Amino acid sequence: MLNRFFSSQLTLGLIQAAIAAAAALIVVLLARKRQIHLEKELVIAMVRGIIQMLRSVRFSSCC
Amino acid sequence: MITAAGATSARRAKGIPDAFRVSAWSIACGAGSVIAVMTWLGVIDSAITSLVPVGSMLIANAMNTNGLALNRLRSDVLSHVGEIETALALGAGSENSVSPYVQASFEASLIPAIDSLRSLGIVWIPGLMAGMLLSGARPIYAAIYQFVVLTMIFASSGLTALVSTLLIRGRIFTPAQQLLLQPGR
Repeated sequence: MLNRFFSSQLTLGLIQAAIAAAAALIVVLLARKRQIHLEKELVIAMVRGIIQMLRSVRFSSCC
Repeated sequence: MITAAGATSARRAKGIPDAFRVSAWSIACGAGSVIAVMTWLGVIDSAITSLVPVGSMLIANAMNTNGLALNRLRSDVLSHVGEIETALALGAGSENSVSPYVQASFEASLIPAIDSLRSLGIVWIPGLMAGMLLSGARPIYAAIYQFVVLTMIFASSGLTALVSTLLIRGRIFTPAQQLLLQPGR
C-alpha cells in the first residue's frame, strides 16, 4: 500500500520506520495500564538504534 | 509456525495448566496482529518471499519472549508462595497477589528486544541488512529497514508478553482462588 504513495526508497523507509515505531509505542502505552513503564527506555533505544544504524552505513560507505 | 512456537515456549511453564493454549493464543495475537497490520499497511511486502522470512522472525522472537515471561513468572511465584498466600489470606484478590511478579516477568521478557534495538549498528550489524545489501538494495534503505524489523519484533514480542501474562495469571489459581503452583508439585 505504501509503495503506491512513495516512490523514493528513502522516504518509504522513513515512513515504514515511523509506523513501526508507532506500533511499538502503542504496545508500551497498553502496558502502562498495568503499571509497567517502559516508555523512556523504548524511546531511547529506538533513537539510539536508528542513529547508530545510519552512522554504520555512513562508515561502511566511506571505507 | 504458531502452533510449533506455542508448544516450544509452553515447555517453560511446567506445572501451569493450559500453558500450550495460552502460549499459542498469545503468539497468534501478538505476532499475528502485528504481521497482519504491517502487511496491510505495506511495511511488510505481501509477497511470500518477504512475508514468510519477516513473519517467521516476528513469530520466533514472540516465542522466545513468551517463554521468558512464563519461565520468570513461574519461578517468581514459586519463590514467593508465602507472600502470595499471605496476601490471599488477608483478602487480596488472586490478580493483585501476583501483580508484582507479572510486571517483573513482562519487563524481564522484553530485555532482549530492547537491548537489541539499543545496540543496533554498534554491537551488531544484523544479517537482514547484509542480505538486503547482497541483493542490491540501497545501503541506507537496508539500514532503515533493519531498524523497522527490530521495532516490529519489539511490538510483537511486547504484545505477546502482555496477552500471555494476562491469560496465565488466571490459570495459576483454582476457581476458589487457591494457588496451584506450589514447590515440589
